[in-house]
Amino acid sequence: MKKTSKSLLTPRRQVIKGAAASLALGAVSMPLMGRYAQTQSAEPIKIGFQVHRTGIGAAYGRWYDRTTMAAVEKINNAGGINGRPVEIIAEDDGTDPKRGAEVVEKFATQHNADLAFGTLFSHVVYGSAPRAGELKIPYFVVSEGHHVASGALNRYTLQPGITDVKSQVQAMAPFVADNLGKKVTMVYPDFAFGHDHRDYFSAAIEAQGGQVIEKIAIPPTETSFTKYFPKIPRDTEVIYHVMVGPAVLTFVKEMGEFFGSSRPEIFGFIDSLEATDLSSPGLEFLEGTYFWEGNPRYAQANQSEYDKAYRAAVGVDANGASVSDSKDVSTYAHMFGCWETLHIVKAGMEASGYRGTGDRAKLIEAVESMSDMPHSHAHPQGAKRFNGKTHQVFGHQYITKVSNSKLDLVHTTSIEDTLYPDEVDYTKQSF
Amino acid sequence: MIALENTNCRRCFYHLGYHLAHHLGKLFMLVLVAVIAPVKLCYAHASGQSFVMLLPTDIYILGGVIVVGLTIVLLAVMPVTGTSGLHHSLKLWRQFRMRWLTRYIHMAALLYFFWLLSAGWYGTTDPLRNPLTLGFWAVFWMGLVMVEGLFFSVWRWINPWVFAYHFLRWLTGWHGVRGWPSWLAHWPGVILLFGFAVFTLADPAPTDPARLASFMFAYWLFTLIGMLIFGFRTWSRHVEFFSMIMASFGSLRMVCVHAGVVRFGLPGWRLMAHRQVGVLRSHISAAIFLLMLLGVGSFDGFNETFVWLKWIDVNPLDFPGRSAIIAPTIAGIILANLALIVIFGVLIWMGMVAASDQPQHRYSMAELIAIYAPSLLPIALAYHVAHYLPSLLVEAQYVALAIDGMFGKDVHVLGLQGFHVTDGFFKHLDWVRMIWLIQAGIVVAGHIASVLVAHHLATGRYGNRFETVISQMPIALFMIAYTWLGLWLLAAPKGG
Repeated sequence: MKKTSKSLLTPRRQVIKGAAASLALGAVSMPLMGRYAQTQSAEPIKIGFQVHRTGIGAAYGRWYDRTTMAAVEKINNAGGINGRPVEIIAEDDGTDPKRGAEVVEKFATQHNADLAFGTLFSHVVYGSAPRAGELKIPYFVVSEGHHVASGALNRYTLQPGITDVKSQVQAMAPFVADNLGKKVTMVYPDFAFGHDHRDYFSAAIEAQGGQVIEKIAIPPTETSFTKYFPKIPRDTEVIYHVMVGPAVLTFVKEMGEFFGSSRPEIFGFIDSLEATDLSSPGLEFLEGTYFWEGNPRYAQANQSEYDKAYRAAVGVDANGASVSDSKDVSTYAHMFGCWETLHIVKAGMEASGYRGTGDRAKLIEAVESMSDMPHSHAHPQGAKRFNGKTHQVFGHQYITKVSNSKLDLVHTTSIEDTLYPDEVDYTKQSF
Repeated sequence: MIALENTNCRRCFYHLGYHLAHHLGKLFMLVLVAVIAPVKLCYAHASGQSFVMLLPTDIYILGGVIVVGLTIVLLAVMPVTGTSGLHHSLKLWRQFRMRWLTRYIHMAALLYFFWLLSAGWYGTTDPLRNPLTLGFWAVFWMGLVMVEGLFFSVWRWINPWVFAYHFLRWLTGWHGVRGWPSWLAHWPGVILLFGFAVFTLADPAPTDPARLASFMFAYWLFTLIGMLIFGFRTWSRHVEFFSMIMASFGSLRMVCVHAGVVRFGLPGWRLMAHRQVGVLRSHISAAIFLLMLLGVGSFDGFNETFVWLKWIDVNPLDFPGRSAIIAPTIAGIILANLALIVIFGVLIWMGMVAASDQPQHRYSMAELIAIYAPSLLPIALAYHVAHYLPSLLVEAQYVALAIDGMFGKDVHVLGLQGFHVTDGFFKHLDWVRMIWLIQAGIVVAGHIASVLVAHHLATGRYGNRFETVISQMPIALFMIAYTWLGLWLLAAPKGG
C-alpha cells in the first residue's frame, strides 16, 4: 500500500499542475456552459415541465417530452413569447402524485418558473393541483381526466389543450348507436379508469336510445380472459372495450379466438393500443373494428397542412411512428395536447402582456377569456372551444376503422357532440 | 352443543391452517424470488411485456429448467477427475503495469466524478438528460457492473477515492492507520448495501439529479474520511460497498489477474481456485453481503410483478407511485433477504446432515453459509445482466445523446443530430423474442455456473463421492427452483 502511495505522489508540482489542467478541461465541459455563453438579452419564460420520465407513465412521458421540445423549438424560432425565449425545465414526477406535488413546489420555489405544465396521469394531477393552488402557480395539465371540469381542483389548474374523457366517451354514443348497434356489452378494467367509461358511456348510449346490456368488469391483475367472453350476451350488437396494461394483446388475441369469423361490431378506445403497432401479431382480429382516437395516428387522405407540419416538427411519419424507427409508434392520440397547450400559454401570455410571475393571475384570466380556437398550426388536432368557467377545452373526436392494419377515419364528431353542462365555475374562485 | 363447538373449532383450525399455509406460501415465493433479478434502474421501460405475454414462455422456461437439471445430473454422475479441471485457468500474459498512467487516470476519474456532481447540482433537472443520473445509474450501475463481472476490471481505474486518498495523505503527511475492529467484519458494508437498496427501490426520487449528487457527495466524503482513518484497503473491503460489489462480481470474470499474470478460465475459476470472493474473507458477514446482493436484486424484479402488487394490495394498472408504497417496499427488501438467508442456510444444513454423521464433516450454520454463499454469486451477476439488458438498450441511447450534446445543442460530438431515442425493439414480436431468449440464456448460464461452483465448494468436504452428491441435493433443488423462478420473473406480467 505504502509503495503504491509513494509512487503515486512523488512529483508534487506535477500533480498540482495536472490537477489544474484537468480542472480547466472540466470547466470547458461544465453543463450548460455553452448555453450560458449565449445568454439571451431577454430573460426566458420558464416553463416547468412535469414529465413522467419514470414509473408507469414513462412511455407517454417520452412522447410528451418530444412533442413539448418540438413545440418550444417552433415557438422560439418564431420569436418566442412576447419577444422572450421559452425555456423548459423538466422534472421527473415518477408518475407519482406525492412526488408530483414536490415537483410543482420545486417549479414555484426553486426554479421560479412562470408556470407548471405537462402532466398526463390523473392521480398525479390530483396530487399536484392543490399544491399549485397553494403556491399560486398556473398548472396547465394535459391529462384527459374529468377532474378539472368536475370542479375538484382549483382556479390555478387548467386543461386547455386536450379534451376530457367524459366528453370523449359521450361523443362516441351517437355514432355507435347509429352505425354499429344499440345493444352494447362493455368490457373494461375494474378500477376508476374503466368505471369512468362504464358510467359515461352507459348514460350517453341511453340518451341515444341504446342500452348497455352487460357490463363485464375485468380484475386489473387478470392475464387471461377466456372465462369472461362467454358472459357476452348472444344478442350483443356492439362490444365496447377499453382494456389497458400488459395483457392487452392477449385480450385481443383471445377475443379473436373466441369469436372466430363471426363477431359483433367492436368499438374500442385507442388507449388500449396507444403506441402499439397495429400490425402486431394477434391484432389481425381487429380488422374492421372501430376506435376512438384523440388524433388520428395515420395520416388521412384529407390530411390538413397543420397535421403535416406538426408531424414533421415532432418527427412522426405518416404511420404515426418515429421518423427514425418505424416500429417506435408514438402516443399520437394524446401528445398533441402538449403542443396545443404550449401554444395556448403563448397566446395567453401575449394577450395578457405577461411580464413575470406577478402576472400569473392575468395569464389565467386571459386563458379563461378564450373561447373558439380555429384549426391551425397552433391547433393541428382540430378546432377547439375552451370553457373558461370549467377550465376545460372541448374539441372534435375521431372514429377510425382498422383497415389493412391501419386506422382510416370514418367519422369526426362535432364539438357540440362533446359538450355537457358546466359542473363548476372556477372564475368565481378568488386568486 | 359440544359437537357444534368442535365443528367451530375445527373450522377455526382449518382457517388458521389455511391462512398459515397461505402466508407460508407467500413467504416461500418471496424467498425463492429473493434471488432473481437485481436492482433495476428507475427508468421503467416495460412496454415489451405485452409481447412477452404472447410468447410460449412456459416452454422456454421448461427448457431452461431442464438444462440446469441435466447439468446437475451430469455433475453427480461424472467422476471427480472429470470435473476437477473446471477451475483450471490458462496463462495469457504477464500483467502490464504503468504506474504513471494509473496515477493520471485516477486523477481524471476524480475530476470526472466532481464534474458529474456539478452536473447533478447545476445541470438539467431532466434525469434522462443529466450526465450524473445517466452516468451513475445507466453507465455505472447498469453497465460497468456488468463489464466488471464479465469482461475486464474498470473499478480499479475509475474508483473516485484512490487519488483523493493518496493526495490527502501526501498533502497532510498523515500516515496513521487504525486497525479494523474484527467484530465489525464486513457488517458495515452489509448495512450500506441495504441502505443503497432502499434508496434504489423505495426512495421516491432516486433519479433526481441534485438529490443524487448530494447523496453521492456525502457518501464520497464519508468514505474518504473512513479511508483516511482505517486505510484505503481496509475500508474498501469492509465498508465501501461499491468496491465490495465490484470485487465480488469481478471474481467471476473469465479473464482476470492472478499473481501478476492475466489468466483465462471458466466463469468463477478464480472463485474456485481461491475459495474466496475477491477481497472478502470467508466470514458470515461477507456471506450475508453476497446473499443480499442476490436478495435485493431479486426483489427488484419481483416488486414489479402483478403477484407482488396484489400482495400489497396495489392495482398494477393504476400504480399509485413509489411514495405510496415505501413501507411495503422496505419490508419486502428485508423479508426477501431474511427468507433467502434462512432457506439457503436450512437447505445446505439439510444437505450436510443427510450426507454424513461424522463430526469432522459437521459445520455450524454460519460456517455453512459462509462456505456456500459464493455459489450464488453467478446467479446474482446473471440476473443483474439479464434484468438490466432491456433498460440498457434504451438508456444507452440517452447516454449517447448526452455525450453528443455535451458542448451545447448545436454541437454534435457523435454526429447524432436528428437522432431520436427509440424503444421500437420492444414493439416487435421477433425482437422481443430475441431479447427475452438472450435474457433467459443469461439466467440459465448463471445457474449453471452456480451449480459448478457449489459442486466445487462441496467437493472434498465429505468422506466420499456419494456423501458429496447427497450433500448437494437440497442445493441442487434450490438451483432448479430458482431457474424456474428467474425465468418466470422474466415472463411474468408486470406493472408499477
